[in-house]
Amino acid sequence: MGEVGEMYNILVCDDERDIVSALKIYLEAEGYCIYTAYNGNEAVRAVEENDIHLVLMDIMMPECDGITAMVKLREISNIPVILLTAKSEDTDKILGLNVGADDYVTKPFNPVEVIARVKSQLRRYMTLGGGHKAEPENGYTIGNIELNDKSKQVFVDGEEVSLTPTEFEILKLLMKNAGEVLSPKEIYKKVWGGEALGAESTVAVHIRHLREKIEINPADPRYLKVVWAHGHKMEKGDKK
Amino acid sequence: MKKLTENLGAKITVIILSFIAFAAALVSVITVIFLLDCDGYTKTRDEIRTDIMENRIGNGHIYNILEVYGNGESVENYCDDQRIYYTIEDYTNGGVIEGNYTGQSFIVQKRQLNLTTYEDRAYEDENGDMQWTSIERSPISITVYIPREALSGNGQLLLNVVDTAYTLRYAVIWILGVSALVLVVLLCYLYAAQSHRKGGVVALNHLDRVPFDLLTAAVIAIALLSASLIDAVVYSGDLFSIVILAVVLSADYFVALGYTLSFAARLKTHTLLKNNIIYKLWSVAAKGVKKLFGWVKYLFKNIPTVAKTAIITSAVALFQFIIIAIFTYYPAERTLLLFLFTALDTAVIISLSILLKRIKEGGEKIAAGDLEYKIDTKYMHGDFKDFAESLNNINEGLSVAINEKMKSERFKTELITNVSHDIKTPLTSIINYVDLIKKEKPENENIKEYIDVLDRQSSHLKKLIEDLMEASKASTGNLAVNLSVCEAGVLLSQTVGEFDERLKAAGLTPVVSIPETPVKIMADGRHLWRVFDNLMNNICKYSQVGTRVYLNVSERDGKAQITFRNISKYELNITGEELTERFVRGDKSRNTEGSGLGLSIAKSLTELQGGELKIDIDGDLFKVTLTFDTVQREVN
Repeated sequence: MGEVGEMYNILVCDDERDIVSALKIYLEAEGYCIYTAYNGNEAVRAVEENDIHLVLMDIMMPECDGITAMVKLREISNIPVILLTAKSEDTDKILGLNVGADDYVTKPFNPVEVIARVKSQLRRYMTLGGGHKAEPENGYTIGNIELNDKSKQVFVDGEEVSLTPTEFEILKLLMKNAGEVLSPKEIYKKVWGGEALGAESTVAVHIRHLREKIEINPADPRYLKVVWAHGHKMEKGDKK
Repeated sequence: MKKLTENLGAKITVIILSFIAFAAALVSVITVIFLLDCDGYTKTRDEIRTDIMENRIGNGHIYNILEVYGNGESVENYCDDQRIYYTIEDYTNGGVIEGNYTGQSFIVQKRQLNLTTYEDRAYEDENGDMQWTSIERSPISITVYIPREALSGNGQLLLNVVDTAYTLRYAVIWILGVSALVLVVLLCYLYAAQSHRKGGVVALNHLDRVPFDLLTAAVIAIALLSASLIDAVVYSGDLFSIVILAVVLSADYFVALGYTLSFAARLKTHTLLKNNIIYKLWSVAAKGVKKLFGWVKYLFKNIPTVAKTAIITSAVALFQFIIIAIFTYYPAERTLLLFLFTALDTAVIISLSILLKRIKEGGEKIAAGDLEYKIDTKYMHGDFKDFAESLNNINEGLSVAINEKMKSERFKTELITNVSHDIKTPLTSIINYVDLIKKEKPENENIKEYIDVLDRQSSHLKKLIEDLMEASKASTGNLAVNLSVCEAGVLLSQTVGEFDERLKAAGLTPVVSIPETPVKIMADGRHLWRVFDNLMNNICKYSQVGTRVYLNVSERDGKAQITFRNISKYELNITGEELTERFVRGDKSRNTEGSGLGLSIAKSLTELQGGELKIDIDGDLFKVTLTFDTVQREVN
């Protein structure tokens, strides 16, 4: 907060005007330039006519809903799109991501979370060149998380996060085995060395802390996922 | 036409006319038959006359003479009496034996050849007793000559009749045709008009009320009586008998007319069949038989199935025994019959067992929840059919009830989901604007306090809506459940890790016990986590500060048990069962945060995964036990 970024143009689209206004206030406070639209068609027109860098869009709207607008948008632009939705069903999320959305926020949302996701998406899109990145030699990169084994540094959206040595080791282990579910026992063995002997919950405690540091919404993580009753895993790379 | 059918006078006139027509027709018929009999249409009047005279009068005289001659009496006296002439000749040589014919004029001559007479003679047999014997005389021929003046009254009458009949021989045919036609027309009218009374009423007279079979019997009796009367008088041919004949036939006509009219009346009023003694007797008997049959059926229906089976089986066995006993004499026959009957019985029993099997399979299918299944009742009777149909009906009732229930549950879930969506949008605005007001840093301390309330309550509302949706989905099973092998211990350790900070903040110390060997159960990790999450949330909220929380995973007898135990902050004056109801909370005042849905969701989700959630309350000790079947070791 307080950081004045470049003047990015953000389109906020929702049929509920109060929500658009609220988001406008929050995002303008962050120094973004806000365009508004109240249905899917207006959103598509706004993107066509203006130099928009990111779209925040509701799914359930009259005339043209968010999914339809999403499909049309993807025909003309590959700017990041974050869907706002009251639908919290898994299938709706998957549908949104499948038609080309980059992220989603469920209503009622936390303004801080929305801003964090906007920032994350913009940073990836503008500074990291829309997903074109080279694999660093001394570490791992997954999505917008970068781990440098040599300097023992971790960057999320290009910003360094400070991790304890144990957290760093756990993250490294999971990123190395990205896509694989590791049981608390295995993690304990590899990170602490030796048998867990009833100390498995320690692993969970550390992973929870880790999640709070690298995830925007620790309760709904994008990368560091809990596979309940089995273990933990790092999502493999970016989607698509 | 209607009027004519209802007019009594017209009817009586028609009856009289019809009788006349009948009489005319009858006389004409008799005349025609008579004429045909004596070839009246082919011969001349004189030929007929001669025939009649010869056959009817001449023959009579010849037989009288033969009798007189045979008895040895004087033929001449007889012939003088009758004023006729005769000649008797010997048949073999033609010589005249006696006679008084000397060339007188006559109108009929009849000659009969080769007649035999007998003479009774007495003789003495070998014992000296007197015996009689008949001795045949030599055959004779008799010729009679009848002069006109010798004809008696009857003879004259016959001649007149023949003359008249011959004169009218073609007219009678016309008379017959016309009278028959008239008769038919009049009868048609009578039958049509029968029992129509004035004013269009169809009514029966006294005759029509007599039972028809009784009437028929009476008519038959009259017919027989008149037939015998006619038979008695018809050959005598005198005037008296003709009068009797006429009277009898007339009476018969009226009887027949009355009978047929009554028949018509009965047909019209549909009483022909019913108004019969036999019918009445039969219907009474039939009623009795039916009643008896119904009673037997009722009795049989109410006999217990086993008793019924015993009765039928014994009856069949007895019947077979009787058949064997009556119809067999030799051991071979007996054996054969016994074998046949045994085969028959076996076939019957097997076919019954097939039906039973069908019902049994249907019952099993229905018990297993196949609500579409219908037992085929083809070839089933009695108890079997009743039973199969009852099962089918149960099935139908069940499937209707279940469909209704599913429909209503789905509707409820949909309603809750839609309402939740609609609430979420305004709630988003509320939360956002409360947050914005907060950021404005109000000067007034009261406003700050109020905003905190708004903030807290809107967050609570958000939680409530989310819980409500989840509860409705979980309780209706409207949730995808992907069961996989899960490690209960791993999940518990993960949960404890997740709640580490909150437990510390609530001043609680977790005591975790997980066995070395992994306890594997079939569950959906995400749903099971929600169960643990809800239970741990409750523990953090309602546990007495400074106490320990015991979390346990154990395995015994193929069952995995996960227990959560804590000491309640509040007095629990409620049962475990009540707590899992929706919107029920330990504290009746509902002052604390929470939706009152946590335990209900936990229970529904557990049950969705095939587990069991049980709550025990022992004073302030609150214990939740989750029970799942463990996965057997072979899964590696």
